Amino acid sequence: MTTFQKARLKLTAWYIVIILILLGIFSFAAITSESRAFVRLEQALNNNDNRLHRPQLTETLEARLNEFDMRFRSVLYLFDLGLLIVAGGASYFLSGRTLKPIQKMIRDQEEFSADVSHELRTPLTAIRTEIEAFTKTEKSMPQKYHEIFFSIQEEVTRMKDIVDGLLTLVRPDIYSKEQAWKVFDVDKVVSEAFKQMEALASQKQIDYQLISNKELLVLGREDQIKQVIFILIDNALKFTPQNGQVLIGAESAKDLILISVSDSGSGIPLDESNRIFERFYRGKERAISSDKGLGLGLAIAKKIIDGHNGRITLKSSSQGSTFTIELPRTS
Amino acid sequence: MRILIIEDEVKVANSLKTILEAESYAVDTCNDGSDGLEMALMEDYDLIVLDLGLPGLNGVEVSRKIRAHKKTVPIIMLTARDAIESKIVGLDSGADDYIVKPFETEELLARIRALLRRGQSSGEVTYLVDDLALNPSSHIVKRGDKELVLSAKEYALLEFLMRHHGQIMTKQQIIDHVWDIDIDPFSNVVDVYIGYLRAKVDKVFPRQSALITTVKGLGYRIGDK
Repeated sequence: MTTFQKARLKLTAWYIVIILILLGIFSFAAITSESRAFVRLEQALNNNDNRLHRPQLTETLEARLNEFDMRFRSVLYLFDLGLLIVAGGASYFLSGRTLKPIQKMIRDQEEFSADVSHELRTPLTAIRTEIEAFTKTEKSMPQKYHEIFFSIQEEVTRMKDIVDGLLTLVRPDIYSKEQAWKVFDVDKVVSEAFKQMEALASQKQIDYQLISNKELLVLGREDQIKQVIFILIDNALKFTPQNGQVLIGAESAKDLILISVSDSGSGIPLDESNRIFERFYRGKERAISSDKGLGLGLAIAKKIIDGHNGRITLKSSSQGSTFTIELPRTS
Repeated sequence: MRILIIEDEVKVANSLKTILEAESYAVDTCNDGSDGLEMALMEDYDLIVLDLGLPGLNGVEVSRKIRAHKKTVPIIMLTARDAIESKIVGLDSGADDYIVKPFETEELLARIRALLRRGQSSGEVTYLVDDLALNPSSHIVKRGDKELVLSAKEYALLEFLMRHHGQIMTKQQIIDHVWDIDIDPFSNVVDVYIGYLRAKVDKVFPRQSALITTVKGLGYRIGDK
């Protein structure tokens, strides 16, 4: 379900709650005023001077009144029900109408961000190729200049990564699910990602292990899920000290596929763990650490997993953190 | 090898020209789609680097029109867009390869070499004529065990002859593929450079047979007498 549909249903539900309250008050008022009318009628009868015909009169009147009471209530309830159905439909329609412009605005905003990101790529290319052309042709350049140019190129690469990350975050999926979504084995994807990060792990002498079951079938985009696993493993390796431990697991549980990445780092404080999936959010510890993260990785991971109708959660203590991905299982 | 760069960002186009010339390619640049198309059709390029977002005629249209004129020249598309659909549009318009900005220069160079190799029937990575060997990716030229030191132009000329070894290459063909558009077509620059090459490739090895031959009235040839 898209965010738009979710928001629409939520708004519809609120409208219906309001209508229910109004109908309740209305019905209560109607029934009270009806019984008050009866009381008044009875009083009128009691005051009547013509006491001779009274028993007979009361009897017929009571029968009629009971009949009227029954009819009044059933009509009232039917009316309530009808109104509820009509109002429910109208609420759904109305919430759609209300949210459409907002949805459009968000789409426009996303397109704008995508355009900006694309536009940034051209000047980045110019910087990179100009430096490249200069260093390639300038033979007698002092070492210091080489270092400066290298450093600039590094920043260009970093900016390119930010642009790429932004594009992943804001780009509306052009392809419908039917076209791009395929059934794939999570085991294979996790194993591939695991292998590709092995060098980094052995550099820091980290105890790096993968425990995965076979045949973990998921419907979605293989490349995107792989990207998420990369992000999680990369983070885990970054924030685990020398000789630490990083465990990656993949298994099935009922109708879910669970992928987990745990590290033996210093953990993420609770107040940070809520914000960690936000764009450009970087933990306090990260700010001190020397390597430059972008603060986009987990936001991208969340966006991708949400798009796959899954969930990504974090459990953290001072002994380390565990990120768990839940994805719906396919047979 | 002669390459045409069609790219509206003048800075990018010029730096690419410098980089490619340092790799001994002859390079022409053009900053506009329709002019680029005209040049691509008029001249006999070995490869075209084509930007997707050009003013006037965009890259996809240029590529389509080049293909419509039955030109099989390899085309690499440069683009800032990396969505799958724009890749598909680019490749379907007739481009052979696709690279997203900002790219690593080494990657672009490797892709260019790969595409130039594709035109070759054998797809060989090193060219061999007798005991003369030329490696296009490292630019190392050896005769026997001895490494030859060539200037960029000499290298480009030798590479062109070796790619077509055994075939007679006319002066015009050599000019078209080794020199860029600024050359005076009536100059004797080809003869001069053939002279330089002969000095380095043949005269230094008097015991071995000469590899570069002049075919009177036609042109030059390397190997296969």
